[in-house]
Amino acid sequence: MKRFLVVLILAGVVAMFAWSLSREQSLASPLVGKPAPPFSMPLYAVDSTLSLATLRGTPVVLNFWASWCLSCRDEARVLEAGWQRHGDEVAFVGIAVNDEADAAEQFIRRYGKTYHLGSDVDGSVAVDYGLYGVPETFFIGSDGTILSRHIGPLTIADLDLRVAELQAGVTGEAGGDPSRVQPLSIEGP
Amino acid sequence: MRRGRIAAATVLLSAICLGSAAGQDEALPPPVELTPAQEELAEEIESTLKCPVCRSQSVRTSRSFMATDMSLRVRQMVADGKSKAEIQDYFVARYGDYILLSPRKEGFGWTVWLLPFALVLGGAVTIVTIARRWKGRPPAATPPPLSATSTWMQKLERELEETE
Repeated sequence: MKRFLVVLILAGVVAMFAWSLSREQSLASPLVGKPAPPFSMPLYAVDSTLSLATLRGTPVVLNFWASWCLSCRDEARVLEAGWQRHGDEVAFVGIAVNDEADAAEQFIRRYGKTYHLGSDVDGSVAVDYGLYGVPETFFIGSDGTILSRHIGPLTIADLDLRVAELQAGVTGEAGGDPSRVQPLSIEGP
Repeated sequence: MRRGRIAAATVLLSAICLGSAAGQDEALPPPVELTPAQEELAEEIESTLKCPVCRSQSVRTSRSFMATDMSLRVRQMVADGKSKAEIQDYFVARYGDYILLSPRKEGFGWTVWLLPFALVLGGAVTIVTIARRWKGRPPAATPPPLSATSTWMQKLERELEETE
């Protein structure tokens, strides 16, 4: 009887532990392997909007950023360099989240960003993509399926690897550094 | 109701902040107007969703950007006639089960719901078992009464007589 109870309690503790682990924030997104949620957003600098649907047929690097995010500064030049290198084959899209238009435009000028950059005005795109913070980047295949997600700032090596996966159309491993993601909490702009 | 006012204030604040951006004013969503019943449903759903950037706070109680954006989406979906389960499914599909404050009563989630009852039951069975064992145990052996003929009594009586 005593042995049974000990086993029962141990099983319970293990089950609770497994359950709590399963509820931890994970690098892997449930959206990987699923169609990318559609969106349309106003672009900075030009008086037009961009819809994800118009990019169908081209792999997309979809980056969420904000001017108040420190890690996004490290990543800004990496993304621009990646766009300059791979722009013929891959579309680069940047979405500013919970940002002020003036600050975002100043950030764009300061880091010389030239790819598609727009604003998630009402935060709906961030929710659709299950965002925790910025920067986060989704890699979307030419058929519109999300192939991987990277959280935290991208390095040149990360970006080259992800772009190669995009071009090959293969699902990538979840990656990144959650400690360098600035949560979309009250400490925003 | 409080969340409704917060959402409306947030939309208004966003409008002020983003008002200077040319061409963006049109993109601002109108505040979501809900009937009292819809408002109640929205608040109930918000209470079941974890704010992903907070520590153990629901979307209803958090004031973070993320929670505000999620609250707006909940309200839009409620206004569109979506059910509680549909709205929860929407968030689980994006964040995983982690986003629910309480596990669902299905699959592995049942373990978490039933385990506390199993442990209480196990504890009760243990207590009853131990109590029964104690009750069934024979009483401790009592020492035999000292007989008047024992050596010790004889010695005592002799010493008392000598004292007298």
